Amino acid sequence: MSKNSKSIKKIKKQILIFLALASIVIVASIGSSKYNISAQTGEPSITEIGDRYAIVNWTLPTSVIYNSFRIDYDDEALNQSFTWSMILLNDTHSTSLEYFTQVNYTIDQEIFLSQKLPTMNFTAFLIENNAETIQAKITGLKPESNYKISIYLVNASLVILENDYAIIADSSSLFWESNQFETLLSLQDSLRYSKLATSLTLLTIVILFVAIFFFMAKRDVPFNKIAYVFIFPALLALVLLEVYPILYGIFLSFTDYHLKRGEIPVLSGFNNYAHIAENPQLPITLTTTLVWSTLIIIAKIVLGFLLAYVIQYKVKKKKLWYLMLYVPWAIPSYIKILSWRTFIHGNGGNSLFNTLFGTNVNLLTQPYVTLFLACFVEVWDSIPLITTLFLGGLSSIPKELNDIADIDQISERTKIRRVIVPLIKPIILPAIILEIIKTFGSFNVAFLLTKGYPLLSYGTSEVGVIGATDLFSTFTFYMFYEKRDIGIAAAYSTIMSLLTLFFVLVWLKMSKGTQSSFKPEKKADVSKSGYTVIALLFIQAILYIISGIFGFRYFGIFWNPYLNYILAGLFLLSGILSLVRKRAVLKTTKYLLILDLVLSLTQFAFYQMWYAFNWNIFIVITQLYLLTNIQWTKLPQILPSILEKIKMKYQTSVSKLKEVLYWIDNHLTELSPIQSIISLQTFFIFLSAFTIKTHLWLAWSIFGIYVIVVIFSLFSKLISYLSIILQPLLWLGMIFSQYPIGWIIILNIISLAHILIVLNKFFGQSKLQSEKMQKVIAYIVKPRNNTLFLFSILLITLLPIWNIVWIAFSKGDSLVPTSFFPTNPTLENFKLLFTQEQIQLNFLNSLIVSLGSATLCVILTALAAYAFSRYYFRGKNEIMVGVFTLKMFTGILTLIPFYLIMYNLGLIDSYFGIILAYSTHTIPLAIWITKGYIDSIPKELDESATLMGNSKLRILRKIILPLAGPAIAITFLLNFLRTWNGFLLAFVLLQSPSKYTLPIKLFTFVGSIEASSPEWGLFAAASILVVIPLLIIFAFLRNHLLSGFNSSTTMREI
Amino acid sequence: MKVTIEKLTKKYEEKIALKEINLEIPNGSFTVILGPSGSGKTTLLRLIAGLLYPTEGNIIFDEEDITLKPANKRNIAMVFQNFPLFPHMTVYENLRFPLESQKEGKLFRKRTYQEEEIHKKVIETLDLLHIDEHKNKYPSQLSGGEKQRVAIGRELIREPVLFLFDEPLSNVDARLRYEMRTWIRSLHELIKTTMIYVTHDQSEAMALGDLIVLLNQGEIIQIGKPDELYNNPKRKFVAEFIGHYPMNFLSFLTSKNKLVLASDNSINLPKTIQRVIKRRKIESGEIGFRAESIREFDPKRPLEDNLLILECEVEDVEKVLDQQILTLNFHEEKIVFVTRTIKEFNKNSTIKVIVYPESIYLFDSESLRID
Repeated sequence: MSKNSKSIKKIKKQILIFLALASIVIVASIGSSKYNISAQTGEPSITEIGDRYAIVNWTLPTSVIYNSFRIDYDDEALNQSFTWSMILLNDTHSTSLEYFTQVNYTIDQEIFLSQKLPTMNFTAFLIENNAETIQAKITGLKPESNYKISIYLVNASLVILENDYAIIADSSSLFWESNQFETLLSLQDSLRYSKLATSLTLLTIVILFVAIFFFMAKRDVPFNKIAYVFIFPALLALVLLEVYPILYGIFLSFTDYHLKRGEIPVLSGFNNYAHIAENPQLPITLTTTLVWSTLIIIAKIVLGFLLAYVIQYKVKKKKLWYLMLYVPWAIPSYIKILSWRTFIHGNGGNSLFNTLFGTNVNLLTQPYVTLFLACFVEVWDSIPLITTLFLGGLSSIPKELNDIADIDQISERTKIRRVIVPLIKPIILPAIILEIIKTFGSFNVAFLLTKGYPLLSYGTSEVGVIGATDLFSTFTFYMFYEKRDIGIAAAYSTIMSLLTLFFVLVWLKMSKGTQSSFKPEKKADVSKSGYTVIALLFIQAILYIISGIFGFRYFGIFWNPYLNYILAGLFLLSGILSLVRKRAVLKTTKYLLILDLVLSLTQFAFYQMWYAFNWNIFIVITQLYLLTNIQWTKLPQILPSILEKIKMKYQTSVSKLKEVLYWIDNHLTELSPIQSIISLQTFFIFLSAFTIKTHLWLAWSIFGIYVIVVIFSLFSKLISYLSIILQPLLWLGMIFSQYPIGWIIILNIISLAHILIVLNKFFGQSKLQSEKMQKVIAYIVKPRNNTLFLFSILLITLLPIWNIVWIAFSKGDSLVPTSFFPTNPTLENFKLLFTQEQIQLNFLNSLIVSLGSATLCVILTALAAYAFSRYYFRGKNEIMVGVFTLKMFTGILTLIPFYLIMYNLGLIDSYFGIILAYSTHTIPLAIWITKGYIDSIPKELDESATLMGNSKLRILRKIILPLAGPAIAITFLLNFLRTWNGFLLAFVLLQSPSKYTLPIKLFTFVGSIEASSPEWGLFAAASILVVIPLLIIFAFLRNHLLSGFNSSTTMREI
Repeated sequence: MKVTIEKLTKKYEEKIALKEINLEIPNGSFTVILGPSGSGKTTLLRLIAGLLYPTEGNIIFDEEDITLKPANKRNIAMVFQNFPLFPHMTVYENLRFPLESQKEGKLFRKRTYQEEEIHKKVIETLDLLHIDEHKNKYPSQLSGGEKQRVAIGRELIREPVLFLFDEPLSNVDARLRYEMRTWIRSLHELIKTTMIYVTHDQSEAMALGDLIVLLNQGEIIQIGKPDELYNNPKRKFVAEFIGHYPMNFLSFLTSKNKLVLASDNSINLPKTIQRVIKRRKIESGEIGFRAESIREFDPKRPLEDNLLILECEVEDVEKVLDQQILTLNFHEEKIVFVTRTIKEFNKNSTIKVIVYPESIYLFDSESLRID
């Protein structure tokens, strides 16, 4: 064990060194940025060189008299000069509509196309007289040869000879001559080269790997030799398909590469990083990603814990609710996300959500709303998982502890705070950090739901536009997939990898700490965390000064630059003072920090958050956290007298307030569900009043009456009963002010509950009601109804699903249900899927790819897991940790290099490429699960089989594999589902529609959010087709999955 | 088959499990390796089986050095503590499996046994073990004794040259343990293969072994026949370990040219013993005597001269069936005394016991036996 921790330490040390180097490199690169290479205006320049062409730009000279240009090129190999064409300035010429032309010109920054004119002696292009700049694409060059281009000013005239044009040119003068340049490789050549290079690299890695393994096996005891053979395939696959792409990605980030014909990556040093550092888009994405991650993680933890707590302790039929958790799980996340898009956004804001609640949500135009909704969908997408994690943690708490807490009459809140949270914290924390890593790199929601939209007006730079929901991942993808700027995209993903690495280190540290059960642990050193705060104070001061001087708006107060200096001064002062009198100053620093927080937060009430988001907030939060954890008792108490007075006043006012509250409490009546029901209704009326369009005054006055009744009902039982009169009033209001349908349903449900409760009070046990009715009423009336809470959450989950089902069975492209069931249900959409869209082919594709990938994964995993379980070879623990760490570096982080490797090997758009891509994805998890399972098989079984004369492979085949069946099945299924539902890699790697897997096919029906004509009907029908087999698999393998699942949650891992 | 072990050492990281073991196990013998837990006995067995590789030293079967030969080529059988039967195979398949696994040839290997042969042998073994009716059952449906018999039968069926038992009876209940013990004994008489049996239970070792190897902390303490170990322990450890009750020890020292007990200077050792020790010029050490060899002092019977008489306090009385086990306190040293008398002993009463010089073992200060 100690060896293990030592090795982790070693790995960490190495990683830290790497980080330090990388940061030095980045800083250095920012210093030496020299990105701009634009030429002087007027002077012609070659802007682009291709394999068979070169593009020249120039501004027309005004001083000389001429009427045309002649463009010549010298072929250095033949040592001969050719004339490529003449460009004639023609006053009779006007804008043409020809599309393909090699010469374009601009007038007033508007681009026009020239007109091509074949003549007897030259190819000529006609452009307007008053052209300002010309861009010529000189074609007909040979790949990989040297050329020199010269432009001559000529006076030429166009004559007609025998029904054909000819150009007569007189004396020419040299206008410009280029340096010698070399054209690029031809497409075939470059493909051949890159294929060769990639194959050679891969081969070198394989040989190196074999050599390392051979060497290690040789040094180990003979008994362990076979273990190296077993782990070899899995590790090789991981190295080739995960580690090498990461390294290749880092390499690419130092090159200039645009995936053009015949282009080869050219080393460009730190240009890409310099570019990113200068680009205003980096802070914008960073802001979005940070805000996104923080919001989502907090929401996930709170909601996940709440749900798990309620399911674990508060409801009967726990099994049923477990199942309710797993069912949304069976739905692939791309379908979930797209169905939320249907529900919220629909077609440009024409959606069920907007119709139900009378709102005006449009994901393309409202930045704040969009970000919030995207976060909501992301939380919703992963809530089953996080709830299960919490459930695993909760079920590990001995039941007796919970019972004792109840018997000791500890209040619910205290129980959660003092018993449950401390107990599950060590178990749940590593899983939470894994979630943070996942959220940080999350791609699907931001891409499928919003694709980064709405665009930000100040988010434009020469490389592209950034949107309000553009995360690091989606922006990287945009740079890669749409802008084809491989170098910059690779640099972005390298930065992301480094940040991920940081989280991984935290994770390693945390998960190491959890192994020890509650031993007396050293409290955080007071002076130490105090010094951290002081250090942070100085950093803040420096950063504020810097942002004040340079106006860097992502750190500092934007709306008044002088505030920066004031804050910096205050921070500096408190930093220096706290070195002298730590306790007193640190305590007062709290108020300063809160002031800073308020200032920073208010500034994006005035501006948009992305524009003026102060990153200082994160430092402030860290400091506040540290300050609350300091043990004050150990520090001497010195508090300035003024502050002492303020504190006294504050305390007296608080106690006065408390007295008033107690006095009110004495006069309250016995509280019943009625009060909470009315308050709930009041709350909904308040919400709905915002969305009503006519008779606003009516809605608000109903709200006013309700508020008054709520207040009075608290003091008098009679009024609480009489409040039933309010219901008809509400109904009248709903009729007159045209409430949207959604509010009507919600408010009516609450009304019904209200009426039932009151009726139940008066006619309590009367025999008028049947027993069933009584049960139902008793159920509704029960105070603190947790089942209802779960039901309402389930209802929210079901709404978009119902929407999708409705669309699938209805005719036309209507998105908004008009009735509960479609009025004229048809199977038209399904028919179209099989006839017009041939979706069965996509099913077949998905099946081939998923089966292939899952089989490959299982074979690799079973071998490796057996070796990991049974042998104690050198470096076993290090390799295990390494393999596990690799799990974090998937998705967008390795996408670009992986794509390029596949591209170079010619595996794009092939089943094999995508099988390879997905097979390694679940290997770490699969190894973990299978190893755990094989560990539970007695070792004596294979020992006795060995003594019988069996070889290791035969033992694996005859004994271990049959016994480890469940683990193998789970491994298979995990990979199968991952591939079946996999979106990103398939989206990038598959190009021809005949090879699309289902997720891509479904995506093509609706496209991204700005797509013009989404086919919602087809998408909805196809979703149902995709989900049904998954639900069947789930139903059959429920118990299997649950057990495999539990074992994986105990390993704090998904 | 004769098994010779030469200077065998096994280290786990820094911990030494076995230290330069030299041992010769004769052909056809039933050798028991006995030792307390952590003594390295299972490690020794696993080294012989080839499931572990030694750090140093050699293992020789007959004349062939097999130290580096993998386990699956040694043709030996091993019965494990928890009798691992393959849970996914029936009894019949479990018995078949070792025969199926036997292969011949170098590159293109074929099975040694043909289908009919396998079937015949399995049926024979089933008969031999009287588990015919369980043929088609899965291991989970068998009782402990049946499982154990199938496990042994599975090893038996392929006629190995060496049988290894790794505490096979420690998880079995007491009655069955006795039964199985006799059964293994008779099995050995029947097949006459060399068997090596590891146990921490000395009564099992005494009952089964032709030869007992006593191990402690990775070293062989004594090798010998069962009686030899009981009657003639060469070290204090052997005397302590073997026997129903741990041997009682009292230290002695020289005082005024006489050997007296360390805890009571007034008690001299019997004269015969004084003589023996004086000849060896030993000044101090320990005397040991077994709980069974103590007698209660009977004032009616004449007192011999050459006895050791100890006056003790009864600290605890324990009745086990027909025996009484008394814990006596002799000057704060504990003495265990076993008697079959029906007489009632009271706690805290005083009692005089006598020890005959014939039953006294002498150990020097290095814990070595003095004859």
